[in-house]
Amino acid sequence: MKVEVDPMICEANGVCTGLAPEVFELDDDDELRVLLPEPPLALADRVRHAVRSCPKAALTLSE
Amino acid sequence: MGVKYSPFDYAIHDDPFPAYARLLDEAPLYHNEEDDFWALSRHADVTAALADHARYSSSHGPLLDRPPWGPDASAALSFVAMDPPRHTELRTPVSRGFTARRVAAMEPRVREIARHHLAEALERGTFDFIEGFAARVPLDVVSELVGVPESDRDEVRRLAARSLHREDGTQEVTAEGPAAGAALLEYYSGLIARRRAEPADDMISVLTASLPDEQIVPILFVLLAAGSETTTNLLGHAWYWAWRHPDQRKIAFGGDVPGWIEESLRYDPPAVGVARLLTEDTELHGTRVSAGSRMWLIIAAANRDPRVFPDPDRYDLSRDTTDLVSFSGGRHYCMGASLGRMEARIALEELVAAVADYEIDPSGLRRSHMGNVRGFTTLPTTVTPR
Repeated sequence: MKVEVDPMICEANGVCTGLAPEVFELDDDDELRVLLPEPPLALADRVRHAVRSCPKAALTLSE
Repeated sequence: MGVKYSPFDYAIHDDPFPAYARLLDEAPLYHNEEDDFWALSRHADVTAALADHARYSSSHGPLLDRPPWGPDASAALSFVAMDPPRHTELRTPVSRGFTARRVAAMEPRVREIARHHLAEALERGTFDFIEGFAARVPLDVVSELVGVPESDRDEVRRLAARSLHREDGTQEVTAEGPAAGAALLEYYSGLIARRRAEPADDMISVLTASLPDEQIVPILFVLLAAGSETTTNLLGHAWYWAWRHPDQRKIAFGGDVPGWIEESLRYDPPAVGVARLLTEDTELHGTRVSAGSRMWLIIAAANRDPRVFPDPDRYDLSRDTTDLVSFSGGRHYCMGASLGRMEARIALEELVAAVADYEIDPSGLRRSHMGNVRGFTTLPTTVTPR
């Protein structure tokens, strides 16, 4: 599983950072960092939820 | 007899929900020739259309009224009436003011604003919930965000309220509306000039760094209109529906303010729907809709789709509202969603803290009459202080 953010679309709503804080983090400039671009299986469900919940559809997932 | 539905019909404004139930059930693609639109109501259709900005274009703006609907909509509505890439270019600098972090930082100021206006209203005991509270807080918050100095805010609020206020029973702003709008334009232009000369830590200064004046002014008006009336209407609906449902009001006043906000957003969203221009011939529910058609995506109906929200006409603070469409979706997802939710939470928390219970005088209720936006213009309430 691989997760990516499109920085042109992301507006730092912080939905994903709330749903999967191990994987997503907003830095001091409100830029989204993907801490684990290839998240472990244990986090898969929450990462899928985060990707689906992004209001701007800025996250993409390849499995 | 097939279902008939027009978003301009006053009977629909009084109670649109039976019509939505029939559209969802009988006419998931609905054509209204007279108003010239094709409506989608089901959750799956509305969310798919919102995500597909290439096929469902915003080039004519999201509003049904003409004007602004049309190819020149962006002159008044800026990036709200644009598609990528122009949309992205203009929206991005503005969106930096609305990140989760920026919104959290504004919370103490929003609470001060809410307390200030609430104290004034409570002194009177009986007041118009809209004019006396729900309209004032969001207007001041927009001023705070944009960078209007505190000393000017009463005047900006007065002008904005006048330019946005609609006469009872009409879609029109009042006769003094255009004059107030012009005065506001002059005020904003002056403020932009001052920030160009001497930047401050506010949104106007961020915008002056990258945009010419003629592009900043419409953005400020969009922020004012999108950021105030919607939040006002959310507060009005929360206050009204909790009054209509005493069991739910008890839960809200017992501390579930977030549930109160989310369910009110779902149950009666301030933005009823958004319009889009179809860019290519598209087959929908067995009918071919031609490119160039005006599409009306009914957010308020999607929020009542029983396929997603079981028993959708029940107002229930404990339900799962994750899939509500109230802030639109895709590239035009409301950038003020976090701010609006935070404002509503603060305003309702302060009300719950100060008020033991309340009544509404149903004979004094008045609604605005616009296609896109739904809310009360007058909501007379009497509160029992704690």
